[in-house]
Amino acid sequence: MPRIVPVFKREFTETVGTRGFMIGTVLGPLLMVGIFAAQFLIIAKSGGGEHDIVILDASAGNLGAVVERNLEAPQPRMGFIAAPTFTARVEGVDAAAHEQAAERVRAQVVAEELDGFLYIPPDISSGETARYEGDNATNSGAMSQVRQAVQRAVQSERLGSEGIDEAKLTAALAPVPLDVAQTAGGNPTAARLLAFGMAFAMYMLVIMYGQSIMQSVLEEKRDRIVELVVSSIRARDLLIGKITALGAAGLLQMLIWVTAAAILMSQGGLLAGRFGADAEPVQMLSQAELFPSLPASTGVLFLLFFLGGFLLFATLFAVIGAIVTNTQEAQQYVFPVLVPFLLGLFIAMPAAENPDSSIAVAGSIIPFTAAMVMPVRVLMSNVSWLEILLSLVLLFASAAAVVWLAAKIYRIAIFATGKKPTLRELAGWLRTA
Amino acid sequence: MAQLHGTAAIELQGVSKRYGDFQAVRPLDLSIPHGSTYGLLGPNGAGKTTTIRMILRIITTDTGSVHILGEPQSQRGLDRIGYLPEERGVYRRMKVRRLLSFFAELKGIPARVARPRIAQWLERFELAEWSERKLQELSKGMQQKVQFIGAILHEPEIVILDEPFSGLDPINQRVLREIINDLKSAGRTILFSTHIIDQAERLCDHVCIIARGDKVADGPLAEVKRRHGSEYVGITLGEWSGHTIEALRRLPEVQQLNERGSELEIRLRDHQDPQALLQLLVREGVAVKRFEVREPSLEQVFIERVGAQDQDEEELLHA
Repeated sequence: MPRIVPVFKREFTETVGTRGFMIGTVLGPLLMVGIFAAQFLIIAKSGGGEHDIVILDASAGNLGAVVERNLEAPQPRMGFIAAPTFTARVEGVDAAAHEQAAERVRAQVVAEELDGFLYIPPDISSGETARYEGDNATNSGAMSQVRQAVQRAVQSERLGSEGIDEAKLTAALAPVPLDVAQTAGGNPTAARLLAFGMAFAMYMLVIMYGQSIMQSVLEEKRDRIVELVVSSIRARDLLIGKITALGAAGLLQMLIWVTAAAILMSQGGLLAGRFGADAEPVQMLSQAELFPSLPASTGVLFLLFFLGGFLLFATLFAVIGAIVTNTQEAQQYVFPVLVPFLLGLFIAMPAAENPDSSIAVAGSIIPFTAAMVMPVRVLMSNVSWLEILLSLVLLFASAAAVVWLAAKIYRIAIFATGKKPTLRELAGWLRTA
Repeated sequence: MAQLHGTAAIELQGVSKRYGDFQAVRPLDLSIPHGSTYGLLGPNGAGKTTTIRMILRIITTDTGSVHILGEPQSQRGLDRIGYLPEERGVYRRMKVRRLLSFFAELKGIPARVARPRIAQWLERFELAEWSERKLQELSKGMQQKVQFIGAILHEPEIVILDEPFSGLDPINQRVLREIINDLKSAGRTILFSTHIIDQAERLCDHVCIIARGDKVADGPLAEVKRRHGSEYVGITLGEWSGHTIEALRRLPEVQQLNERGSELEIRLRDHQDPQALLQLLVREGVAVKRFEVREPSLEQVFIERVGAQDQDEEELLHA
């Protein structure tokens, strides 16, 4: 066992000490902040836009004026995006001559004197179709505002003609709040978010550092160094040292990022203010409780599943590195390794809704999906400790089995240079190693 | 335990290895004495590297046992061996001193103990100013020196060198010969494999010849030559004489006669007396400039032994 230490030390310092790691660690969050800020700026600046339109009103009951009032009333903002604002002018038209009127204002739209026009037909209250035309017809925010303005005007007229008090009706139809909670644990949205967050973090770590492990195994083979190393220590120890070192480097990088993100979140309002955006929504976001508070034991459990999952997949990458002879070949094997990983994600998502379905239970025991599925089930249901223990034991046992397999292939592959082995040759290697 | 295995630094008993249909090493017994310089000779593909890799536990044995310094293979045993593989690589992006420190740590030598040794060796090989450079900035020759240092930094009792001279420029060949001689005088056991027989004859005191996974000769160099039996006679005639040459060729003692200008090289049949040749020459009244009885060179032993083994194999195939 102690001979893992020099390997760990070497891999860790050689990874963390590189310029690439430092640049990646610093640039990663900077890029994150950059994208965040850019999006913010774009959305905050562009907003819903200003719209200048004409209402061609052929209705009997002066509906045009009501629509105009509805349109020009200030709208609540939608999230970060400022609502579109309208300037409308009502023009009474005769239903028979509305085509000529439309022709005239269309010319104004073409000349860019106007953004568009709305035609309100005489029988709109009994179901005739209203019509909007303009060069802003693709602006979904503006269009939904137009639709609402017309609808509310027509609905209000219909209610009036039936003798119903609009205010009373609105009060009667006010939505009833319903608080939903699963008996064992938190809410499904938080669980899904957590599952997704964990799977994403694991995915990042596996993709970035799994590939580094693969590359490092490959390089050791290509540069003819591995024979010297395994003449001193066991191939298994070399692999374990390598995987734990690169995993630790990955975790360190993630920790730096998460810390940076936490600081960013807590200071987000300030930052947004610096960028000239409205600080309020960002402050709301940073104060919102994205994750329900977890008991420490659950946190430890999640960490164990996270580490186990990473170990298992990272080791599979080491196997790829041991089998192939160059990077191009290695790429073909990456996807098959990621398939069970994605499968775990696909099982974890519905498991948040239905944590005790047979597929969720199976998924939480099978090692290749357990790391993603079990944490969700733990959060959403009363999973027995026995089940959790079984799942963990299987997860770490299969990681160990894959390490053993990789070490075997590794030792033999040292001597097979040149071409990629066939499956049959691989099987032969396993027998002779 | 140590008593049982006597003075052997490395002892192999019935060690074999098969890859699928290919028998890489047939059950092989080897006893490499303490302090010897032991040459493992054989043509390419004879099983030399496989044997070495089994000694070092890089690959497992199918049958048999390996003892190192009197004990069964273990981490402790491996720590007392220094190894220079035929395929010599380095971590190209590591700095020289860090790489050497890593090699030492792999052998259980703490970095703090290794540091002064590394400095000494780098000094000796004129690499001191390169110690903080990355391996990829070094020339091939300098990288090779770093590899030699890596193999002996932990002061191993046994040094195993697989085809050590292949790919070395003449200067580094000399550096390596110096290292080997130093190790020899320090009483270390050296096992090296080569197919360059000339090198082995100059450096070894013990040899083992293997061919196609089989041992065909083994023992102290002088004994191997003596056991080989055949003697050679070199004769330089004062004057060329076809008649004399024919008479010599017909002698029952002569197995083979090669003419090289005025010089004749004669291989006698096993255990025959070279005196018969001399008597014939005197009887014929031929002027002889030189008459010399020689023992076979290791190369001759090698070629004849490996050739004979090939012949046996042919016969087996056609039987």
